[in-house]
Amino acid sequence: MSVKKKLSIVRSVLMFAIIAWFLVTFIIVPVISVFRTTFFTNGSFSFEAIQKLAASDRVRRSLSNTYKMAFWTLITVTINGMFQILVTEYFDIKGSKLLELAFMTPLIYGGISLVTGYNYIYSANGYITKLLLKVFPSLNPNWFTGFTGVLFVHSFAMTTHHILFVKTAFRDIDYSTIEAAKSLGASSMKAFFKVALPVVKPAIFSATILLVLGALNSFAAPSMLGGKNFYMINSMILTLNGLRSYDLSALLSLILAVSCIILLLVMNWLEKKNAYLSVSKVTTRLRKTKIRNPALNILIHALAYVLALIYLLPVIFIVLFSLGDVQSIVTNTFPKSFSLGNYIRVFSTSATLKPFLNSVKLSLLAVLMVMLITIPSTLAIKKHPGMATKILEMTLLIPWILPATMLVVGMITTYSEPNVLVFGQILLGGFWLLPIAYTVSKIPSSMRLVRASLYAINDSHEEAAHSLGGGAFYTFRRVVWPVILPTAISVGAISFNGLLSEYTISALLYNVNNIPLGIVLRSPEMSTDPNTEANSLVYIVVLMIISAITLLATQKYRNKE
Amino acid sequence: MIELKDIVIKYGDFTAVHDLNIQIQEGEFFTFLGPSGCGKTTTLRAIAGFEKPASGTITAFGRDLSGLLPEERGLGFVFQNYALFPSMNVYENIAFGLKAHKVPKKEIPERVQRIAEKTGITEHLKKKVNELSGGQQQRIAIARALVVEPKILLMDEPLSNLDAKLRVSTREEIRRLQRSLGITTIYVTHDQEEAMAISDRIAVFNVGRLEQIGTPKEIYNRPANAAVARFIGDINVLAGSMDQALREKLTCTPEDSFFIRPHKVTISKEAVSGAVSFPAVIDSFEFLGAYTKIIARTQDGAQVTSLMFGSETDYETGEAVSISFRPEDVLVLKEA
Repeated sequence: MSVKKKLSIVRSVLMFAIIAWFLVTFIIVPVISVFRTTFFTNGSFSFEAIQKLAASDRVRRSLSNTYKMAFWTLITVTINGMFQILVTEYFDIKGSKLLELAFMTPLIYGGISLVTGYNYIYSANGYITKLLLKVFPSLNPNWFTGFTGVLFVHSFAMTTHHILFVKTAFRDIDYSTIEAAKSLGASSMKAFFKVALPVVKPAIFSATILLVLGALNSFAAPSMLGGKNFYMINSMILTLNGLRSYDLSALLSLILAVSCIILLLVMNWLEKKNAYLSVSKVTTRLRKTKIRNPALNILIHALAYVLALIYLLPVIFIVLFSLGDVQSIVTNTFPKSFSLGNYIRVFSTSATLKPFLNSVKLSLLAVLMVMLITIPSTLAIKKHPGMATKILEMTLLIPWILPATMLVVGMITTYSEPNVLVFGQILLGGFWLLPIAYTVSKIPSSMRLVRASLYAINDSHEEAAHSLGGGAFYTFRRVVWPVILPTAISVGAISFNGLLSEYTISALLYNVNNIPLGIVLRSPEMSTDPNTEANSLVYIVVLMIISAITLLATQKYRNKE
Repeated sequence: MIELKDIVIKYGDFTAVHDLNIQIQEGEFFTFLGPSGCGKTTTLRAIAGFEKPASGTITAFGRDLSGLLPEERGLGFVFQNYALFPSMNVYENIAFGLKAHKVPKKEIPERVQRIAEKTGITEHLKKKVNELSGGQQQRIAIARALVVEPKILLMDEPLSNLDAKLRVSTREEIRRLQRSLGITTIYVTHDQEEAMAISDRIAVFNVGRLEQIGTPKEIYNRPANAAVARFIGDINVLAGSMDQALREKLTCTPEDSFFIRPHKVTISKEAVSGAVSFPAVIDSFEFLGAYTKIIARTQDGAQVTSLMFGSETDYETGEAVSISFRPEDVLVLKEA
């Protein structure tokens, strides 16, 4: 064996030893720890956590609230999402491009920044609620709290899966099948329900399951809008962790995990059962249908514009208020003058710039770690199929199946004391656990995308490179890497963007020396500093701009590739 | 009778169909023939109600179709890509139109069965549509269109996705079915051989205009202009010395050109008596089984193709021969 070959083997072994250590330490051990914390008290097996759950009315209510919320979210988002698709893709609606843009706003801001934005204008002091009170004086000014508030946010923010999956599936419908239905005597509505809808059914199922998963895992909305009495599983886990009631929080995270696994299994089964492949060799592009009934046409136009307004108003108001003076922002009165003063203050004051820069640092670190783990692992999985790589693949996908809260609860319970796996260190309360948890949460989505691009590489290209004398590393650098680079860049950009305002993991793991942006966005309602609210608006606008740029750039970059 | 009167179809500033006037008789198998982009499918889609003419009227059996939606026209349509509903099985695909027309539930199975027998797809009724071959899918598309018993059947290049052999056998079946049902059929194709084999009459389209309507024989033997002659079958343009000689012999105007079908041309070692002959040399020949295609070149470089039936041709490239044809077989046509 040549020295070069030996070196290459040593390098690979070392790299995979580090990856294996990471996965065992930050995925497998935390999962085991959740089970141990739930079912073992003082070293012996017990159902104490379950008994505690049964005894606590508040905790039980958080469970029923979560499932109730998931159910109602499913209903409202499905109606909303399908209506959006009907008015932007199927029916001929005037100004549908503008509607589409409005409906896409949840893609550029989500999670805590969206909840903060919505809260700013729809809360009791919010500009829109104040306006509504003038028109409907009997309206409860606190309508945007508790169940209604959370459901309102879910109903409008969780349509992203419909935009991403159902809409794409809808665009792929062979329009000639709709024409065929019409030529056979079916009306436009009948053609939609009998021909178009069944074809997009698998995509609707996927979107539905993903949105139910999202609703079950919802954190930012219930913790910010829930008030004193409305808790969901994740917000209850946060509270229980604060009370150091780890066994109960571990049990809740386990219940959440079981619910998610069942849903994912159902999704898998439905996807296999309902895949309809178009039989047409050449499909015809969808053409929009005119609504012939004038009354119905006006009604649908009106509904579509009102819906678009609900989406656009928070964005417009957040941008306008962020440019207003602090006094207007605090009192929620429309600003008389606009300036970049708030932006200049946020970015020139170290105290306000710090959380932003910290989130940039944490997100970049996480993205780098994600790449260092997923790319070599995916390559190994493709090149060396076997038991070891199968286990590697399954482990990498664990964070996709299990909710982030469960893994984080596991990390907290494992690393709140010195642990040999991390060389006797206590990680909780330090810097590293947060970027590590970010990394773990982004591994599965990144791996799935990198794997897709890697499997698109023709094996004969690599064989050709080897036959021309290219070594393993040289072949990777010159043949494989250029193919997966666009995906790697897109995945990196999307992950970075998502992590910048991450809230679920951050809320459970942040500490005073390591405050990310998501936590600061949550703080205006707790702070007495008049600038805090203005700062939040600035952060949200900046995050929106970064998201929009990332979205457009990755889309353009991918199209180009 | 179906009548298209002064039909103009526009896409923005682009006129896809100009001033079209066609009358189609009841029970007729009528074909719209022409190259891609000539307006034939657009016209068919306008009859079905999928395109709206900028002006003109379409009537069918005395009923003005202009203001009617596709679902109100009661026409059968067979799509180029079949447009079978992927979420339904074969039976459900065929029954769809009957349900849409609110046919009594009891009647539906019987009618589906009847059309399935006629189109030879009985054993596939329970199958998913993506389990079937292209030919079978095509029959289902036809069965689905026919089951509602439309007075008119519109077919948009229904054979274009099939292989050559299947195309021939399926077109014969379509013709047989159309005759047995007596249904007025409008058929769109760009394949002139298919059009000739299947049609009672053909309308030849070119760049959005109707060039000629006639029976297959009329169109082949007496094309209205050079464009139709060129599109329908192979044809020789008689240029150079042949053109000069024919101008003296035949009645023509300076704008006219001379054409002749390859099978009307004889290539022989000696000039044929009673025919017009020109000296030439063999340029190339292709043995095609039942006949041989010979290309000869006159002294001034004009090429002429001849089809010689049988396999007794024993020419060699460069060999001196005579090109002969009868003046009455020459087509005197204007460029469109």
